[in-house]
Amino acid sequence: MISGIFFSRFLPQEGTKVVHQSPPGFLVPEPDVETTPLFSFETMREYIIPRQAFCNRYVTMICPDNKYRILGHPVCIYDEKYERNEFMFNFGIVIGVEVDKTPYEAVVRRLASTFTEMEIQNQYLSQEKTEGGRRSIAALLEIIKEDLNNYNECMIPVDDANTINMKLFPIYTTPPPIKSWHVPISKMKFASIIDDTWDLTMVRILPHIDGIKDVRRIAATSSTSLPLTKLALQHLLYYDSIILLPLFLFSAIYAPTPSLHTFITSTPMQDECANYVYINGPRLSNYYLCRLFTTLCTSRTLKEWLKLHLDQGFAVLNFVDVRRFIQFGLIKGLIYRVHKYAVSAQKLADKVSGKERLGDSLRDYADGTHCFDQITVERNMGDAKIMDALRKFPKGDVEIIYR
Amino acid sequence: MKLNPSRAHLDVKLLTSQLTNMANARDIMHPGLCAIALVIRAREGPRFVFHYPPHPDGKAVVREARFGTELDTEPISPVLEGEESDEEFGEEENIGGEVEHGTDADGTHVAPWDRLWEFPTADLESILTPSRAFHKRRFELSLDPVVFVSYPVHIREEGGWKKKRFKKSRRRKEGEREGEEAKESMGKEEEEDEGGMTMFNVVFMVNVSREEEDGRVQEVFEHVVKKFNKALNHAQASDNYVWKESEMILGMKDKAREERRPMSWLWNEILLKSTLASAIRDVFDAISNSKIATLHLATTPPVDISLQIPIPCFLTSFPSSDDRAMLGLLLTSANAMIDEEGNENPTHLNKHFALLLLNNEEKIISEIQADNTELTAPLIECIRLCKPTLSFLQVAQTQNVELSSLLILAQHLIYWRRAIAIPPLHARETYIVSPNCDSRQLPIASIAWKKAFPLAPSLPSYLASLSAAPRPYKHFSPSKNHRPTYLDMLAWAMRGGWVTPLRTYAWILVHPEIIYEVDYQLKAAAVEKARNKSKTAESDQDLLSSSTDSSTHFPKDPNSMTTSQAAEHARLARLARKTAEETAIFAAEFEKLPPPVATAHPSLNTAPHLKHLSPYVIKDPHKVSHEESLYIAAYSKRFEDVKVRETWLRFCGRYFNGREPLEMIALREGMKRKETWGLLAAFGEVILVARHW
Repeated sequence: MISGIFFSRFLPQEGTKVVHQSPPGFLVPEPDVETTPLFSFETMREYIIPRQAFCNRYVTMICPDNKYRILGHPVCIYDEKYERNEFMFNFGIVIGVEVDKTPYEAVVRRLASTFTEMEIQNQYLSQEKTEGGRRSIAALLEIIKEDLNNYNECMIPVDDANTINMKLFPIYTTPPPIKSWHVPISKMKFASIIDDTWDLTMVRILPHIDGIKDVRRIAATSSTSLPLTKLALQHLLYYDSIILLPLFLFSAIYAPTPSLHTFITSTPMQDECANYVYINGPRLSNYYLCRLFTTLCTSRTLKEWLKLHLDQGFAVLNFVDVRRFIQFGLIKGLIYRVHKYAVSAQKLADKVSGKERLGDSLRDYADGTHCFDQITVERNMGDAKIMDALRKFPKGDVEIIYR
Repeated sequence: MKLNPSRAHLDVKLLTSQLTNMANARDIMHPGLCAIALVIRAREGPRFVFHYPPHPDGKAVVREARFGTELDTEPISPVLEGEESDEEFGEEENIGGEVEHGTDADGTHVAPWDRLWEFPTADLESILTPSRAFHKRRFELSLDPVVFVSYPVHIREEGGWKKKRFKKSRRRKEGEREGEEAKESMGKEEEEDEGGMTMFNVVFMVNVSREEEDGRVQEVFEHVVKKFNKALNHAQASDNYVWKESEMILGMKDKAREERRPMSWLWNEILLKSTLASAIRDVFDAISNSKIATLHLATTPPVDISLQIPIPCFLTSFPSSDDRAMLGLLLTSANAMIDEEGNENPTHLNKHFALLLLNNEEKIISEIQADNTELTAPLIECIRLCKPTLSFLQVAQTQNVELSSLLILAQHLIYWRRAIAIPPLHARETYIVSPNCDSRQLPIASIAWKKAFPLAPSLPSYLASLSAAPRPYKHFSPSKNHRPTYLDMLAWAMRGGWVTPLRTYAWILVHPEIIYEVDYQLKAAAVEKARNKSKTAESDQDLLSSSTDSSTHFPKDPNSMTTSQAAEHARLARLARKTAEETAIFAAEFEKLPPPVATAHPSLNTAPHLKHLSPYVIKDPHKVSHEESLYIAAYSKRFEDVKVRETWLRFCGRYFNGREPLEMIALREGMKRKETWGLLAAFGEVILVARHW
């Protein structure tokens, strides 16, 4: 929410002056307006139009009582036609300190650049007048504030040649990088929102996002290059429309996290899980889900886990879709994947002594930082094959760490 | 981040000596501090006194794009349109090293220190000396891309830098440790020249990416900016410190300007002579590297202050894939700062936890000795007494020291990053490789490990055996004689965030047999009650018929009743009949139910009448429903051993809630671990168990 918007100028005789403000009186008192200013203009004067050295850049400042923040982009135009050879102005926005300021930066920069251009074209600001089809600056400010607050965007024709088009875009945090051994799961129905204008790579890979294929396989089956596939997926991740999970394998190990407690004590969550996973047979009671989660542990592969339950007379596969079950646990943070790493003593020693040579196939991965999933995807080797290959290393050289 | 092999070789010694779990704190919490400046307003107007470093980097700190617990080094393609970069910012000063003295367009002499990035200090000094409205308030100005944050201090309106107190006792208390106030007012009386200084402002400059800006600025402000300016206010009040130092630095700058000295020479001179300048340097060096700044301001009395941006000692939940990676940080749900109500409370330290030093004991002691404060002796005592294998309570009991003071000292060590609190290490407990351990450090850590434990298996093989299958730790030790060394190894690995305790959590599990039994009893009671009720109802009816003159009751003679009374009477009679019928049906059905049979193993009872029931987990034994309390009671009747029965009732509420690990029972109940596990074995069938860190 914009609390106020203003246009201020530096006048050679009077100094920094607020020329227009909306709402009236929010920054400096106006005759016939009873609004009390949000903060003392005097204390902030120096930061609204600072010395030339600080002009022509994005400037923000918090008011002394730490309630409001001024976002501005003071501009200084040098030209002999002006008194003292310069014209200084600032279109500023005032927001509460608790408001996320990032989306407004682009707005403030756009206001500065548009009006700088208009001033250079026809002295729109310095010769301010309202006749001739031009909008007054006061009216403009009012519309910009209202439109941005109500619609998050504005499209305002200023005169015949200039239009102000602005939109507040939410700024998301940088998403984590996509790894080729990740499996994307969509959070929305892409088929229903896709149209012809979508990016071609995106159109090609979308049908393959099925929660089963890993990134590399998606690239291969859609005949798209791996880097492009990752780029497209990164976009989807940025907009939080996919989730990335590790490969699902029956030889994989999953272990509970402390969040499991939430599951055990939350009946709605158990119901949600039951709806998602009891698709292979009759619906069992929620207790079995608790039992299934609590029996996952750091040294038990899924295969062994299934065997354990079978031995106890519970044929899990007859009732539960195990892949969905694991997905549910991972997405809710109830369990985590325990990855497998190979560590070669020789490799570590080489790293320290600086004699490390790359290109020696499997040994490159044996420094404890490359999980078996990565090897599987990049070298096209299954768990058993990797273990076989590692056995060919000198005796006692390789250790397997589960982490 | 790729480890450069040749460089790694050179740095091994350095790195091994720093190898603690804080080693990569820099990656985790880079504060993005890029410079610190001291600005004052004196008689002749605002002055830009000093800044450090002399040529600050103008680039935003780029953090490693590593998330969750990932270790791999797959190259990351730069994706998504970046924000507008400020490549030119700060460039001019950074190329070519030393900047020469020069002249500007008007022909005035410009010294190399007259600019900070592209900003002339003459302009900065005016914009960074805000009006009194900002006195002791947060000052936050961003001049893209740098954020200037500070806590300006003005002279008091009535003069002086501190509120004056103890006025009467001033003379008499002279020389006593009554303190700063007295001394400060003394200084005032001597009327030292303050150069008309009316304010000073130590400004911290932060440059980080937009998405992190608010958080980082807030941290620096709360933990460093505010405290440092306050300390300087104190020093100024007591000893006119800020002005004296500023006057000296400004004098040196003027002289160097006349002599056209190079900036590097001048900065060396200033840092040698001015304790304030070197304090600013120390703050910058420490804070920008996420370390603790320990300052000593040479005032009378001296001001000692330590500043840090606190960093977490451990993670309590699994880092999700979009959390910034904090590799190497211990991952455990064992939080010592949780009070009895289950809330996180930084002033509360669980007495059943133990102290694990984050560095070599001797090294920490020598550092603490160097600090030399009144806490030094007690802290060293605390370090000597505490062992990672003993809880604070055990230490207090065996060493005969006061528990509360021990906890306070331990908290001090934890806050100042010298130690962490962990559940006491024990050979009977289970430890696994932490999912958050930083395996990138393996090459270097292996060397440090070898040095510390020359005869032990290599670090990778130690970790491999711990991670292969969780077992009580004692099984890894070849013999009983090796146990102390193995516990030392465990402490080492825990300190580095390599391993974490695997803890056991339990919930009460109610089997169908018990559910049926309780249900049956409840029904039986209901039938019994209904029977009694119908009996009493009948007798009531008799009583009612016999009573004559009660106006509230119906008259005996039906003929004398009004129609509405008659209708009501009939309705009640119908109701009574219906209830009686229902009771009869209920009782008949109940008769058909097979009576509950208590088997030795309720979990294996497959009787047909239990088929439709499924086991039930009690969510919170602290807040049980009536039925749940009956389940617990039903179980307790099954335990024949009196001791087991008592323990059951005691443990149910305290430990079978999925929150308190069973490993803590021995410590909290003051029992032997073997004994508790023996008791718990008796409950094996009736609890649902999960194991996680």
